[in-house]
Amino acid sequence: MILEVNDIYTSYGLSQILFGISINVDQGECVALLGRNGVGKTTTLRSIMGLTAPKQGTVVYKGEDITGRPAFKVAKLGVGFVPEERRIFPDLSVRENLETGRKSAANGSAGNGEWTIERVNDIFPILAGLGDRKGGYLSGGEQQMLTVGRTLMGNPDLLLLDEPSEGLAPLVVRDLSEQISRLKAEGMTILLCEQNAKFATNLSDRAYIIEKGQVRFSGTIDELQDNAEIRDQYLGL
Amino acid sequence: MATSQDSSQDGAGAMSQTQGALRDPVLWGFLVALVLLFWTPELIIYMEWADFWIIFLTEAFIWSLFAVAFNLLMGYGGLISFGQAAYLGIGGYTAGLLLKYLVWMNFYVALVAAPVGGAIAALVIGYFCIRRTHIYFAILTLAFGHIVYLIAFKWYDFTGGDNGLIGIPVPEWIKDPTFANYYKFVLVICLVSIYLLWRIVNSPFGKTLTAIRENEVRADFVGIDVQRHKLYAFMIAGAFSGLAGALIMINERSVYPDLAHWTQSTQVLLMSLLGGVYTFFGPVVGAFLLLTMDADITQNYPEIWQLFLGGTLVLILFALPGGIVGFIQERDENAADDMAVRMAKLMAQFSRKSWYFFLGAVGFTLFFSILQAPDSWWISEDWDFELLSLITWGMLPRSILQLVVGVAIMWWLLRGIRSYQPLHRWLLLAFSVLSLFLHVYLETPLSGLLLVFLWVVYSFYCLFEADTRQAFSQGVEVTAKDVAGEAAE
Amino acid sequence: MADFFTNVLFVQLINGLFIAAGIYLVASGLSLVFGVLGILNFAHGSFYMYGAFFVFTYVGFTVGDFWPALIIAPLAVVVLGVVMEVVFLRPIYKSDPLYQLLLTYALVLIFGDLVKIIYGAENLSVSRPEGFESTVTVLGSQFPSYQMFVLLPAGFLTVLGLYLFLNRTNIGRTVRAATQDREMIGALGVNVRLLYTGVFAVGAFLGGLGGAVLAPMGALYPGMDFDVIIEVFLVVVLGGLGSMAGTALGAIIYGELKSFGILWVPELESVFIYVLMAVVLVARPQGLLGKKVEGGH
Repeated sequence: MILEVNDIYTSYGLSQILFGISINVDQGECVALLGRNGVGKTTTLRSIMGLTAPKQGTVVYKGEDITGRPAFKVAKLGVGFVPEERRIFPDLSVRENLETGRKSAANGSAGNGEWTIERVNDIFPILAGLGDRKGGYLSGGEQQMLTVGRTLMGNPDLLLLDEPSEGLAPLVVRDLSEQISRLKAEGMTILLCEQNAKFATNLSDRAYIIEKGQVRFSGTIDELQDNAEIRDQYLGL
Repeated sequence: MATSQDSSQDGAGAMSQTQGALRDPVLWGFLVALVLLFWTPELIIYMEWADFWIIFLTEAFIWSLFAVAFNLLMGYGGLISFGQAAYLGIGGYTAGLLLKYLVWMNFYVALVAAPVGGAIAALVIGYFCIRRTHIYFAILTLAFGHIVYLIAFKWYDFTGGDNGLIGIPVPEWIKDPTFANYYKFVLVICLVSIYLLWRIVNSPFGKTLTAIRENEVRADFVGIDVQRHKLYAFMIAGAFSGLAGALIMINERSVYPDLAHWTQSTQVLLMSLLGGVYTFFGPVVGAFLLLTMDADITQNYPEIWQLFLGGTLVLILFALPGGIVGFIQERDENAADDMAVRMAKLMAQFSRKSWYFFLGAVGFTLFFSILQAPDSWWISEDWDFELLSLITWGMLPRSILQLVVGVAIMWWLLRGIRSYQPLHRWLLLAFSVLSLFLHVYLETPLSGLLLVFLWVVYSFYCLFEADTRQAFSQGVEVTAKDVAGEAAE
Repeated sequence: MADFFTNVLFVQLINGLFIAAGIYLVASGLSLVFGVLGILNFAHGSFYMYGAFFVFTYVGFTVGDFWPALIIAPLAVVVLGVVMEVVFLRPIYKSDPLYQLLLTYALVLIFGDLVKIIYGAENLSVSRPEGFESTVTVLGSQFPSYQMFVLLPAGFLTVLGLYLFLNRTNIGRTVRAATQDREMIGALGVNVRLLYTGVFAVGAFLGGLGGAVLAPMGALYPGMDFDVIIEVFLVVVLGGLGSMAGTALGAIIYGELKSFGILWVPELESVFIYVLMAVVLVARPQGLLGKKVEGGH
């Protein structure tokens, strides 16, 4: 078990978002958090990352309790966070954006090998020709790939992906889907937040459905596909 | 400070406006204050330092007006002007120059010209300052404030430079030896102006301003012209600041560039924060408090005045963000509670706040002790020790005595109050007089009076009045937040 | 006649650059700190003042040794700045910007009176280092050699140094990234707290350096902090708060305008800069090279 989230409660100021979320992720797995907009998926990822500390409950990563640690320490332990809305640094060039994410591998990085700009370009060939272009001048798809690539440069063992397909054209989403499956094939552990259930179920092994800050369903993708009631109620597939 | 004339705001006709004003308890409060304060000189004229007190009150009312005008920007508009003294200076110079250079100039016309000058200057400067949000606003008001000072300082031919304008002609009646005439004149102008400002902040305009402070984007979204409202607020503040400047000028019959100096801006900023920015009358309390401390401290220690202001500012920011009036007004009221729970909560909160208040007062007194006799930590060397003369005890023993005796009395009184003993309530009021005695001893009677005044207001508002309210109403108070919410919707 | 005319123009041009170099030294630190931390540090003028007074202290103790003071004084200011950042600013990074503004303003008042208590209210002065007391002739015009060989190079080297630091080093790149998205930088594994303290220290160093370099050129007095912070504000409003290139441009415009303004209307030379600032505010509120920001600051 690489990540274990036990019964966390998180709030922003006065408004409470999470009411006891528990999630497990195993090594090499891809797990999806599904649900509508505003149910607490992003907050769950932010709670794991330490960007918004949970009020209650624990987050355990590789057997170590990381609840409430500042984000940079969590990142150094090997958790990579890819935020929603493609938060690249618009005034930095693509190369500089990638360099900013670089840090030495945490604990040998589980044999994944060190990430380099070349290796990122290999996964996302579009970025290869754009090294000197400023991040702000990229298309939405390119920015999304850059965001993922930038996080990969930090040699994470666990990748938290927040709404990667949001606002992208269908063709770009297809490319991204292939690229993420390739990452998974290389042994990356991924926790994925998505509203786009089709995109997520194609990639994932297991899924959690979140509604109003609580887990309403958990199981394998097959179980989810078989459960028409859950699918209709929460995903509207 | 609940708003009580909401009904009058919606009425379109002038008739209902007037009637609303007559029913306004705040107006009656102003009138009573006016009458009482108007005859103060006659009451104290036989006292030893009567003219000192009258001059002090004159200045305190002028600064109160200035602070309330400033707080229209800061408290209601969320705009911190770091150069408000510019309008003080412009008002002073406008009236001063008119009176000095135009022989035929009527005194009252010049006095009216001051707020007009302040408003026009605020229009011009404000036009540039409101273009960006808070941080730029702060920078720009500071910079423009400085240029006003520089012009007054450097333009010798017109403003007299750092020699100032002196010997400005004023009517004979102002020059009476007791200073009472001018005090009365200032009192009337300031109270009327402050009442006007009170009407302004409670008008639809004032509520819109608060809505902008709360959420500028939302205000813009519902169709409020944000820039224009800010500019108007800036002009109103500029006009009343200009009036205050003219009153200061007349008081001294001269005007110097220092009137527009940034230190004056700092002072008014601190008055607002000290009294409480989110309350209307907070700045008045702040003005009296700061001037009291100025009179009691800096006569002897002018070189640490800024240090003192800065230290106070840090303390307020970290410990008392609502200011003193904000502290007094803070109440734990929950409409869902029943009568018994409300009373219990009220008593518990009163008790807790009283301890804070008491400790604050002890610290305040200690501070004065240190300044009055900096070397006498233990038994003073200048005086022979006498058991009955507290001033010979030295600072630390005296403060410890004050603390021990005070804690014992407070503990006994508060216990009585928690068990609803009516006698203890009155004794609590009387208790505050002890601090007056102590301050008279320390030769800082002003601070003592102020402490007593604050203590009485505090006890009245948080105990007597709150108690009545708890007993007779079920919490139908309109808070500032509700009002802001309504205005924004 | 024509010769005289070009000569005067040349002299004023160079004098303008002197002013620009001096003000840039101070303004760059303020702008850098604002860009990364989002805090407008009113007390930056105090750093400048302490830089100058520390030079006075150092030179007073070891007579004649000016050059080491040029580094030691700013380093002492850095200590002051780091203490201020850790004690006062760290607890309030998430507060309302107005609150932060008021706090730094409170520190201005405290720092100002401390100088008065320690050094007295009299004007003090630091004499120019040996060999730089006189003037130097360039293209037929005379210039003070201290300004020519110390101030101007110091300003130029600061521009160059900051440019290289921000664009050619890893830390500089991180700093630039932090001006664009602070939270993200933390999620990528950078210790943001440490970065803030570091940037604040660099800002304090620049402020102190400005004070140290300018110390031999004028009187040292309590209140010089306030005078300089207003000039710095004018420069950053012109150039764009948070933009380093904008700050340099603003400083040059400020210097030249002031220098030529003196030629025209000696008494009210500062009015021109205000007029220009007013025009910029109407035409381009974010400053000449500033970024358009929605909401926030």
